[in-house]
Amino acid sequence: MPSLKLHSKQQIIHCEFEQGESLLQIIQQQNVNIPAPCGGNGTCGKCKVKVKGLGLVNSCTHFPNDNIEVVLPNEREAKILTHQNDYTLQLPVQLDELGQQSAYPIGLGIDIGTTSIVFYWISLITGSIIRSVGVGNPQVKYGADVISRINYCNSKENLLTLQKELVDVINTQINTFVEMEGLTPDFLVKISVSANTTMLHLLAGIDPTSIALVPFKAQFLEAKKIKSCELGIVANAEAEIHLMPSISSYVGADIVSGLASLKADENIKNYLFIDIGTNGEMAVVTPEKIYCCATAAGPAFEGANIKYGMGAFDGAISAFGVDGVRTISDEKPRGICGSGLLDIVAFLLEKNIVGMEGELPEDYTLVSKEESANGEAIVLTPQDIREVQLAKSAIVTGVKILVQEAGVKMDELDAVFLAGGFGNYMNPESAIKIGLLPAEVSGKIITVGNTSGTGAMLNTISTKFEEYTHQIIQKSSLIALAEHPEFEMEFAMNMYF
Amino acid sequence: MNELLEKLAYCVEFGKINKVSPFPPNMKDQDGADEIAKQLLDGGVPATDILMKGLMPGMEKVGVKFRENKVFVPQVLMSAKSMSAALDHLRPYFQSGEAERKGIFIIGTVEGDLHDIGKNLVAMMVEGNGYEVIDLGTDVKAEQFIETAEKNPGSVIGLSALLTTTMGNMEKIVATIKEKNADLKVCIGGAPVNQDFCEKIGADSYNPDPQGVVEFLNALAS
Ligand code: B12
Repeated sequence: MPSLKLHSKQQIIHCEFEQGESLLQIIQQQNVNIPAPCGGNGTCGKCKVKVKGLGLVNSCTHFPNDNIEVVLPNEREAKILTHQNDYTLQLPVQLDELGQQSAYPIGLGIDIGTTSIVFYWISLITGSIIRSVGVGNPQVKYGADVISRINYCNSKENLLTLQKELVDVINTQINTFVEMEGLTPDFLVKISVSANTTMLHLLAGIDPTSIALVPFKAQFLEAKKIKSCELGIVANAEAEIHLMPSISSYVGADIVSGLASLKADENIKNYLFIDIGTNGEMAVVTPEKIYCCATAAGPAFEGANIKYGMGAFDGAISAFGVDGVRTISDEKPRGICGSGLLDIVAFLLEKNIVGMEGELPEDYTLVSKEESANGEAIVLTPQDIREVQLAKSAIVTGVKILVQEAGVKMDELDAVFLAGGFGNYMNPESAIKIGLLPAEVSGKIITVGNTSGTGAMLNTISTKFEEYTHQIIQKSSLIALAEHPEFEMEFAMNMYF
Repeated sequence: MNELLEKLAYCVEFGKINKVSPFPPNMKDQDGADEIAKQLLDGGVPATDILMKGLMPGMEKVGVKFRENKVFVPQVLMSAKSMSAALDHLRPYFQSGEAERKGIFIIGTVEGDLHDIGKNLVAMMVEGNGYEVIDLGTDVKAEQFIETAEKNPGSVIGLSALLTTTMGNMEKIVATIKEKNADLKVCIGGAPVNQDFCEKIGADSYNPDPQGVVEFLNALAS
């Protein structure tokens, strides 16, 4: 059956459909409302949606035969990753007692990121995904990054507010799912949550304040099993919510889960696993040990602190080169997202418009005001370059120090697994050109998508996965960059291009 | 000798630490701040002159270029290191009282925070501009600032914070210091800090960059 990827109200729905149905019908079956006042006669044009590659079509008169990606009108496309990759560990279904007793056991794997949350609905009979849905993290209104969420938790009441936001969004998804499938919450017998350490504290209702102050100690790192009713999550009364284990305050269960979800082949002995995001978590994995750290790159590659920076939404410049600008959904450009920023800086370096010390004499115009979406020219400023220098240096310095601590040489890395949203969309050559990743790993970069979500899924499918995460924790040692004698000098020098 | 002083200023401006340092590439195999400071002292130039006419002009140039975004952290760090290499030769003269400095600056990263790269830059730039700097390191409590300030009359305190969570501690530290001794001058800085916050918490000065602190201290000292 062909499949549909639907971008609707900041959520992404994946589903399969029968050929012969109209796109309108297919979308409505997903409980998504599209106005169709003429009743599907193809006359009013109100049911227009945007089909990737085709542009706007009347959904009632469009009968897709093949895989299709659709964006609802006026909806910003939230790029949330939900896929698996070639290096994903495969595990057969292995259930706990409750799962074995259920006639039609359903499991839910959840990846709670600071900005987005992905839900994986799994049949615990076959172990396959029934549906995956990505939504924005509703806590965003209380602050964009983990530190500001922690700041918000200055009272018990505020902590409960943040907890409730998570519980509510989970319950909403559960209710929608059971309604659509014609089930009751009773069939939901297991939930696994992978997330960063702060999000796990917030979901469990435990004060995360100590995470943001010296000595940056978490209240708990170990795996936890909490009865669904204790958290107020609608599921089978006996169902347990498995909070997956973390390594440290800033190397969370999302990284543990991601590392455990990967099965490198025999040719890959030493590898780097890295999530290029605000907190820049990374690990160097050798046959004996795992060395990990968080490098605090900052949100430059998410569009923050960049004058015309924006998230990966419609109209964001996502690629740039000699052929000019490419934007998400081919809309008129309105800003620059992370992958575009990488390309732009790489291009300016190539053309010697930005020097190797990062000097840019004046604003560089990317898009004139006539061509932009909001009548304002889109430029890259000298200060933007400085922000990129800080962020890329934090990442590459982390990589260099980890590799050194692991006692391997950079060219002995057999692969670089790039996890997370940004890694999936960026051009690896640009990353190497600007020195976000060391030149030695050129040609060895493999994007693996949302491994944290994959880990949450595996943890739901098999009780065995706990052993895998446990092994990761056992093998891991945390490298404290703040105390590292070479960090300061390395960090400064790696700011050069 | 004037020529040598100018050369010292040049080394500081461009971050030439010593002869063996490969940085900057176009000054390969030339003497750096280290050697030149020693030659100046051997040639009988007073330590105060080396500081005022060699190090300070060089440091000021980098400070201004940094403020104008013409150079960035690595260049400033190399300049600061060159300055330190020269200053090491001058220290005995300051300790014996033979040479004098403009004042004392006490700096530290506030309680709860470990970020110190920006703070170190500020410390080195202030030192290179003729002040004695007492660096209390990171995760520093109000009491430590107060104690050190009391031991060093006339000193000015600088606080650095890089986390939004530790800005709250900065506020508390300023309040504690002012409560204890309202005459103590406190200046603040760090990426999340700004002028509004400075006014709100009753600190005496905010500066986005090291050159600003230097100017603030100079104004106080004159
Ligand atoms: C380097 C860095 C680190 C290094 C610190 C190394 C060290 N010894 O300092 C490491 C990797 C250890 C680190 C750790 C953490 N970091 Co950090 N880090 C950064 C980074 C990349 C750069 C900071 C920096 O050094 N800038 C360069 C210096 C020169 O600039 P500066 O400090 O601003 O100083 C200048 C001015 O502010 C001013 N100034 C500074 N102090 C003063 C004082 C006075 C008196 C005056 C006048 C002026 C002044 O002058 C300086 C020169 O111009 C930023 C992100 C970014 N892109 O900026 C995050 C960042 C500051 N870190 C952050 C965080 C959260 C952390 C962690 C708590 C968690 C984490 N891992 O993500 C940990 C905690 C520590 C630990 N567990 O070890 C966050 C803070 C977010 C927030 N909302 O508060 C940031 C913004 C990144 C992010 N995640 O968004 N970090």
